[in-house]
Amino acid sequence: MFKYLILDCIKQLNGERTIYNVYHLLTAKKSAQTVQDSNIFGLKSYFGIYKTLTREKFDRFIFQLEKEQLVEFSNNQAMYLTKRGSKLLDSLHRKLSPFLYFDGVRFYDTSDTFSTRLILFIQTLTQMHQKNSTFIPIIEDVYVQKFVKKVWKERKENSLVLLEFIYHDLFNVLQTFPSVYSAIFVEHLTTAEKVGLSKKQLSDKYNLPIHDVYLSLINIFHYISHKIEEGENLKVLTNLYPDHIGNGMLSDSATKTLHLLNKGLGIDEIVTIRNLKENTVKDHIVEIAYMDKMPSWDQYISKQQYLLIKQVLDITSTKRLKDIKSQLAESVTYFQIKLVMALEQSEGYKS
Amino acid sequence: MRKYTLENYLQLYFGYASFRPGQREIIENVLANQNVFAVLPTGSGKSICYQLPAIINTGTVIIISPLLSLMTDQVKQLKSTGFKQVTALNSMLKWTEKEDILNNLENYRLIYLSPEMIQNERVLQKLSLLQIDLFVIDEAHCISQWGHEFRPDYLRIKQVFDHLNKPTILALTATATPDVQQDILNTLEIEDAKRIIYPMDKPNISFVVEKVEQLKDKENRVTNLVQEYKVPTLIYFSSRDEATKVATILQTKVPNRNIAYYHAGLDNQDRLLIQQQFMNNQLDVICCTNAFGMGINKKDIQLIVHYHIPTQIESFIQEVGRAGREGQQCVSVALYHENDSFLALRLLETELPDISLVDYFLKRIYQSDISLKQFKEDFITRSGGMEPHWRFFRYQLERMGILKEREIVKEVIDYEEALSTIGNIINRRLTYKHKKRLEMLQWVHTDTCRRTKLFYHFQDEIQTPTYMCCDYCDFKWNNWKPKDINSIENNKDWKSLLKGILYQGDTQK
Repeated sequence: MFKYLILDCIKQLNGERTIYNVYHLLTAKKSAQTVQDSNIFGLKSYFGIYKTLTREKFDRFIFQLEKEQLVEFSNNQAMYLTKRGSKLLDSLHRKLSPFLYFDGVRFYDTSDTFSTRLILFIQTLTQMHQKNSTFIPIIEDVYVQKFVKKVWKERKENSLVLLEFIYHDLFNVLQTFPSVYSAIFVEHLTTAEKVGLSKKQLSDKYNLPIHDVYLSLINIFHYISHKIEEGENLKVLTNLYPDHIGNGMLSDSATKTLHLLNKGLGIDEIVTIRNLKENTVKDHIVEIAYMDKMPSWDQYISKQQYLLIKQVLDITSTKRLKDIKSQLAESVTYFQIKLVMALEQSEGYKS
Repeated sequence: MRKYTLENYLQLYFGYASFRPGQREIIENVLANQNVFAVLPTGSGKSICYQLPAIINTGTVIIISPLLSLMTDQVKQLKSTGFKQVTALNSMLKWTEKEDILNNLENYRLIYLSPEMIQNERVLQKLSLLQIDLFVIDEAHCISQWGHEFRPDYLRIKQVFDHLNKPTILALTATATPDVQQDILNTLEIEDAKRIIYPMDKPNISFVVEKVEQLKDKENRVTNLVQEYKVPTLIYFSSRDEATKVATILQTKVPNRNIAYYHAGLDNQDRLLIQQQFMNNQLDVICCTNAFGMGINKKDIQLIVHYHIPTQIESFIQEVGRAGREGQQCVSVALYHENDSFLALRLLETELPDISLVDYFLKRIYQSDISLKQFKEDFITRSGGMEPHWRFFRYQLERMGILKEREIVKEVIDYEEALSTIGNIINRRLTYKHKKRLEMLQWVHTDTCRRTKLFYHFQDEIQTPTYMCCDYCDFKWNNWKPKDINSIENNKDWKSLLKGILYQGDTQK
């Protein structure tokens, strides 16, 4: 699964970004740039789905791909798929895509909270069913603990009923997946009877790479998230699903900038107040453009400029900013090009 | 007047009917506002000595502890008994969590703090508003320069204590030689403290050392032990890689036992899972580094194997002490190959920063206007991620006055003198560590009673062993016949498993 993801990313980036952009994409690091990239290259579904991936493990994996001659570096440090790599990607695609439900951007702010709540709720429910109110919670996050406690108190049904509900919820969900992934999910759960297996143990038991164990869990959580957001009737799981935080995946820093923009401040003023570089603030604005958060854009770009840039974007295949800029008037800035790319993905031009 | 006896509280909150040796005496003294210095062996229930006063008293109890995992474990355990007014302030908290805790500090009766935290002005200021009944210094040997785990941050405890209107002090440790004990009392200026010293030797453990000719023999021997003795077992390694490697070998060679590894390289969630599985008898054997065991309260560990010997006797005693919590017969086996002494040597030399690294950063300090913040990250990176090296260096800068309230002051001392001062300290520490390593080695090579030799640094009298003593005296493997304790095996498909764990019986609809 991990291999498929990486190969897919490399294919989509098409040598126009470095391999580290793939790392940043999966871990959702370096937010502003990464958000833009994931939008530009159609990789939104992978955004931030592997936040705990370390740089070292990523490097080791890429090195392995190179050794297997699935990918190669061109002389400008860009990475491409080899023929062999493309072939493997195609066959993996046929095998895996029917049950991949990653939607990284959409569930960026809900996925972690939801999965930890679900894990702790199941532990709590089974323990309470055994009349055992003193146990060590398997999730350490105190906010998750408080939430689960609240849900537990609010649900009036007795534990037997809740157990049956959650059993049916999970059974229906898990039937969608090949049995190895369902088994990994079930064995990872901690209940009164047994402590869940770690990712390493699951990897040994089911003979899958540890990356795939991690991703298959996330994949199932994303699938459940889809079901819940589409309004499927899940009797308990829906209760555990978090609200989206107001600004979605907007980085903290961009959120602060948005706040100041909404107060009517200009780029220059924000640069001074926040002690940031002008380009940083502009990147925030592009990030905001992807999120569809501004009443109007005409102070950054005129309708005419917008249409001109859009025209060039429509006819060129490259996503390299430099190449795009060279086809436009001198007065057009990189910022404006990025802004148009963003707005084309979200709301279009508003004046 | 208290309505209940100490035993009532003990039963109510901890589920024990009576105190273990030392506990009552310590609790009675601190409740009477008498400073106490106590040496209690690992696994003798040190934590109850301050947790019970926190439950009984009206004010707050503060505990300084260097062990993050121990802190979080104890908080979890206490909360699970129903005592919720407990918290831990340490570097693992998210910013919002820390703010939440600080803003509600008066609601907690038991506050665990890492030594780094008490350097924070805001934390100190908040603490000074509380009525503090008892100030506990756990792992108090860390305060002594001559202790085996000296931590510079610990010296600041004294200032904090003065700042908090001198509450009653309870200093606790599991391992301290008489010299170190005296040093702790002097440093804390509590010579009036009541000393409660309990012997560290556990009479229910037998000590065995086995020397091997080939390194490969260790693998075979450990396989054989794991196969033969079906009891909860810990195998200690000096490196993460070796622990991982041997765990993998054992998993293949002894498929009928459940084996895992544990070290600081695992993520938090996996560490917690492995630990809980071991507690819940889903695992039989853990291959681990010294990161495992702090705060582990498993009562039926009966075999401790040292695949590598530690760099000092104190660590060895602590690690062995995790076995036989209920007085049952248990065995400690140390496997020794002559290369091990070099391994320990290498390990020990990585415990302090290299003098060339110190020199490099001193030059940067003296040749430019660099701020503390700017070179902290760089220092840690260049020392290979060794945060303790940085703490050592920062502490030395403070001691010389070069670092004062986070500002660099170069005028107090010149570059040459600063370098030679730190150089001397590093050398002194290394000499000391070498001495400790040799002590450990001498024990391995001893040709007298191992029990006597192991504890003679710490106490005058050795208790009579309950079972076999050691391989010098009377130990025979044939005479050790522990009862099998096997873990639970699971090989169901996911559908039956899901049904089982959610108690759906056979009522499939």
